[in-house]
Order: sequence, then structure tokens, then C-alpha cells
Amino acid sequence: MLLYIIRRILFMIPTLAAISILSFAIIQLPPGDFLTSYAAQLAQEGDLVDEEELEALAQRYGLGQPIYVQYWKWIKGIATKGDWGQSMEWQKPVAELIWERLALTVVLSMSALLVSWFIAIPIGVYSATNQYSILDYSMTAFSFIGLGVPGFLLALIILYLAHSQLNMNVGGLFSEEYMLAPWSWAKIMDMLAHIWVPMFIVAVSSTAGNIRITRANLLDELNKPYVETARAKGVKETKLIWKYPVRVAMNPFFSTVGWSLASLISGTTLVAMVLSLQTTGPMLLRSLTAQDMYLAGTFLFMLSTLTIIGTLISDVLLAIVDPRIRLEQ
Amino acid sequence: MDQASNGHAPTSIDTDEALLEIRDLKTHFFMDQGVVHALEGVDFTVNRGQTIGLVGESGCGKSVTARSILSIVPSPGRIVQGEILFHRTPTADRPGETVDMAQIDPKGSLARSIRGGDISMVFQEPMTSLSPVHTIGAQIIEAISLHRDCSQEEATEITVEMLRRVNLPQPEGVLKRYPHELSGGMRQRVMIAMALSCQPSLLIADEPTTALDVTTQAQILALMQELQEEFGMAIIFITHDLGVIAQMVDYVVVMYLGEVVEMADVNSIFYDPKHPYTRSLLHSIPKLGRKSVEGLTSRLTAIHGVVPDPYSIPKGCPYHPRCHDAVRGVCDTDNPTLHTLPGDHKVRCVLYDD
Repeated sequence: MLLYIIRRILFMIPTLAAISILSFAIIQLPPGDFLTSYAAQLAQEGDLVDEEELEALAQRYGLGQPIYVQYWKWIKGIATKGDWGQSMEWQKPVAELIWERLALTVVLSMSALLVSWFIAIPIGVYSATNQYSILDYSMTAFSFIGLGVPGFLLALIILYLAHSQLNMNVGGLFSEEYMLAPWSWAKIMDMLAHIWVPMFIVAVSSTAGNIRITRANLLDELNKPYVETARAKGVKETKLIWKYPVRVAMNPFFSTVGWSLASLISGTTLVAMVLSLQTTGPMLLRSLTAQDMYLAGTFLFMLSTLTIIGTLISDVLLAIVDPRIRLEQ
Repeated sequence: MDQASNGHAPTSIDTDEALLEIRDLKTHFFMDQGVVHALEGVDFTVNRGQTIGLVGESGCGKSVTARSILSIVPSPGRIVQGEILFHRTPTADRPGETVDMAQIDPKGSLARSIRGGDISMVFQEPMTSLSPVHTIGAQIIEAISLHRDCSQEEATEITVEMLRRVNLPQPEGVLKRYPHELSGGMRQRVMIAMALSCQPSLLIADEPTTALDVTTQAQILALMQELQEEFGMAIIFITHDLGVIAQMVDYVVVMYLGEVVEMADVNSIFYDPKHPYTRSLLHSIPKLGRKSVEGLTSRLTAIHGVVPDPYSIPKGCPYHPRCHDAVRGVCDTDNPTLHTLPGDHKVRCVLYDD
């Protein structure tokens, strides 16, 4: 197992190198660069475009140079100094910008993910073992609504209802006084008080999906002969259900870890924009439209890395939970 | 063998004493399309230490009978009528008692303690009958811990002993293996070891060798006979393979569409079959060197027609549309009752009306 993991990690290096080149190249694909859009923006706002300033910026970011030189500078900075480059739009190092947002995003998405699993799995199990009961039908109805209503719409509805009925502002992750404050115990408590609404919204659709997945997987397993064997052994019904078919039905969940890691960062973009959350989604989107290449490149690179790591984690988890999976070639 | 056989001594088995009495058992399945009468009045008795063969075509209710006995009839099936009287063997902690498996709560503790403890079952599909994600050891130890008062270590010891008893090489190694690492024959041995680990007084074997190749089949059958002599349990052997019946059982129950059509000891069934259905079944066995009058190898006779659709069972005797001896105006109106012929040979057919 350890050997397998080491081999997989070694294989990740060339993959990551290829991905970093690709993501850098993709950012460069649209015509123009950050300076073009910056100049256009200045002109639009009626400001004078200072050719000299533009020239200085171009020098600073190495914009005039061939792509491979720019790429090499960037990747060398990451590998040697952990320097992810400078965000042109924010005029700050990328690293400084993203870590706090990344942490917030991970907290939000992870808690939503866990909540959705904790709610979805028992409901899915109930639905499958009591198929076509009234509760199963109502859960099915709920799941389809949950799957069908986009998160941002739900966010808008909740914002509206909270504002019009309760006169509350549920947007954002912090109260105003903590928005720019440094991290403290009080700020954390403030965040915990705010995180419920976005977490609920993010969790709804994935809960709905997970209920359907659990139910369908379990229905496939419930009629397998090994379940009957366990029943004929005299195992208690509830224990039997959770120990045997549920255990097998959970396997597909482990294989979804691969992509859920990446969606932690990008998945909640629309909801985050509606609720004005300081998460990574909106920043990623903005960096792409503004051609803020180092910031965008960093995000793309991280998403890909997380996908690769996630795939490795799912493979290892699956190998642990399902003995039928063989690691040897 | 001390570990595994310290339950009840198999030497003092009274084979005339009834162990299981099934009376007028009806199990129906309530489907959206209608009610399927899977069992329409099944009666037979299993004595202690006896081997009963349950024979019939697919869909005749053999497996449903087995599941009814264990009260694990899958939904939407339900026992609607009849009795399944099981005479529990007394043990050190409790006296013997008679339990009606048709009446008790299928999920209750009494049903669960009988299932796997007093009555256990070996299934048809050794490939899928064991959990793919638990080790062989864990699955057998679970059965032992459920029914026998012993520690984890003792349960492990019993398991190793049972695995050795079913002739699995390196039983300690098998303990840690997963089902997919074993062959079909080995898995069926594991199933048998698991079924016998709590020394049941009744073992139900639902086509235990159907999925195996003939060589393995012969080994498994020999093993089961050997273990029966040692443990002294009664066996209900479900199969459509009459060769297996001839080799294994004392008494044969022939079923057709949820009814017992004939039952007698194994010799009477093979040498003096009464019911037209039993005769057709016996004619459909291929025989080496069977020649017709002209000296040519004769064609194998199949039973004419197919098993009727379960939603539209024919009126009268359910077999009459396929029967060569059917009497028009009699067989298609009334279903005959079970007649008892001399030698305790029971048959359900108008040909034997007085």
C-alpha cells in the first residue's frame, strides 16, 4: 500500500508540471493581457492613461517577454520561494490574497459536505429500506426539488425572506465590525453565527443528490444474496442493514472525494456571489475576467492539484474499504 | 473436534421424532399485478436426523418454502396461513419448546435465535452469498457470537476448527481471506462451515451445488453426508437435480406450483412414482445407453409445455394442461386432495381416487 502511494505521488509530478504549463497557456489564450484591460478600464472611467506607468508595469511583470520566459519565472518562484506571483489587479502578492479566502472556503464547503452526508445517508437508508412508503415519497419529492432549485436562487429567496420578514441581513460571513478585523476568538464566534445560512444553502442540493445516490445504491444491494445470508444467520435487522448492504453501498461515495475536493474551491461561486461571501469562487471568476494572470494561474493550478490529490485519496480510500480492489499492476 | 461438537451429542438421535412439521402452509406475494400464490398448502414433516429432498421445477415454491421455515420471506411476500412447528432441541440453558415459525415476529429475538442457531441455511450462489467486504473469519465468528455463549477467542477457535472440518487447507489463513480470493467450491465449504458452526438441528440446503462444476459438486455432497453423520442434523435438500436426490436423501417431497403433489421415501419415488408429474420428471433424466425399441439412442423426453404464468394458475389440478393422463371434466374442475396410498406414499391426483 505504502509503495503504491509513493509511486502514485511520483507519477503526480509530471502530471502537475503538464497541468501548470496548460493552465498558464490557457490564461494567455485570450487576446491582450492585464494591461490592456487595465488601460481600457482606466479609459472608460475617464482617467488619463499614463503610457509610462503602463510601461513600468509591463517591465515589472515581464509582460513583454515570450510566454515560456514568463512561465519559467512564475514556476521558479513557486518552486523555490513559494512565491505565487503578484496579483496585478489587487497589487498584492497572490499568496497573501488567497490563503484566508481558501481557509474560509474550505471551512464552509467541508462543513456543508459533512452536514449533507450526515443528513443524506440516514435518510437514503430509510428511503431504500422503506421503499414506496409515504416518507420515502416525501423525501423523493424533497430531493428532486433540492436538486432542481439552483443554489443561487435559494440564496436569493432566503436573502429576500430574511430581509423582508425578519429584517435581517444574512449575507456575508462576518458582521460589519469584524469584516476587516484581524482574526480573534470573537471573530470566529461571529463567523460561526453567520456560516449557517450559506452552509444550509450549499448543503441543500448536495444533500438531495446524496439521498438519491444512497437510496439507489442501497436498493441495488438490499436484494443481494449476502444480505439474506446475514439474515439467515440471525443478525438483528438494523445492524444487518448498516453492517452489510450500507457498507457496500457507501463505496461510490469514496470515489466522489476526488472531485469534491476541487469543487470545494470553485463549487459555490454563484451562491458566494449572491451572498457576498469572501470565498475563493468569486475571486477566481474575477481574476479570469480581468486577466489577472498570476492569480488566475494559481487558482487553476490549485484546482488541478486538488483534483489529482483527491483522485489519489479516493483511490486509497477505496482500496481500504473495498478489499476486492487490487493495487498491484 | 472437541470445540465444535460440544453441543448436543449426535449419537442419541431418535429418527422417528418429528423435528419440523409443516401444515397447510400458504405463502403469498402481494405484487402490484396481483397476488402470487407461491405456496398453496404445503404439508410435510421432517424427522430428526432425516434428509428430505424438495424437488420441482423453477418457480414451484421450493425456495419460498425454505424461506418460510426461517421466516425470512422477502417482501412483498407473507405467510398467510398454516403452521410451521419447529421442535427446538433442549439445551443446558433452556428446555425444549415447540415454536410456530409462521406465527412469531420475523424480526423478533426468538426468530433470530432460531435462525442460524437451530435452523441454518446454505444458499445456491456461493459467489455472492458472502459479504464481499468482510473477511471469512469475521462472517463466521459473527454467527458463532450471535448464538453461542463464548469469547471472541473461543469463537475464532471454533471457526478455525469448522474450516478445517470442511477440508479447507490452512484454515488459519482462510480466516483472514476475503470471499473473492476463494474459488466457488471453497466458498461453498465456507458457507457450510458457517451454517454448521452453531450445530443446528436442521440444515436447509437450497441448491447448494447448482452453481458448481460436477467434480466440486460431488465433493461438496460427500462432505455434507459426512458432516451429517457427525453432527446428526436433519437436512432439507432443495434441488431440481434428481441425481443428487437419489444420492443424498431418505424421503422425497415433489412440488408443483406451490403444492406438494407427491411424497414418499426415495425408493418408492424412483421405482414406483405415482403422480404423472413425478413420472415425467424421472423421464426427463438423461440416461447413458438408453435405447429405443429400434435400438437407436432415444431422444430425451422433456415435460410438455411450460410452468403456467403465476398470475393465472389453471383451474382444477394445476398440472392438468401439461398432463398426458388428464381426464377432461375432472382434472380441470377440482384440485384433488392428497391421497395416502399403502406404504405411506402420498399423492395428489384423481387417478388414485377410490
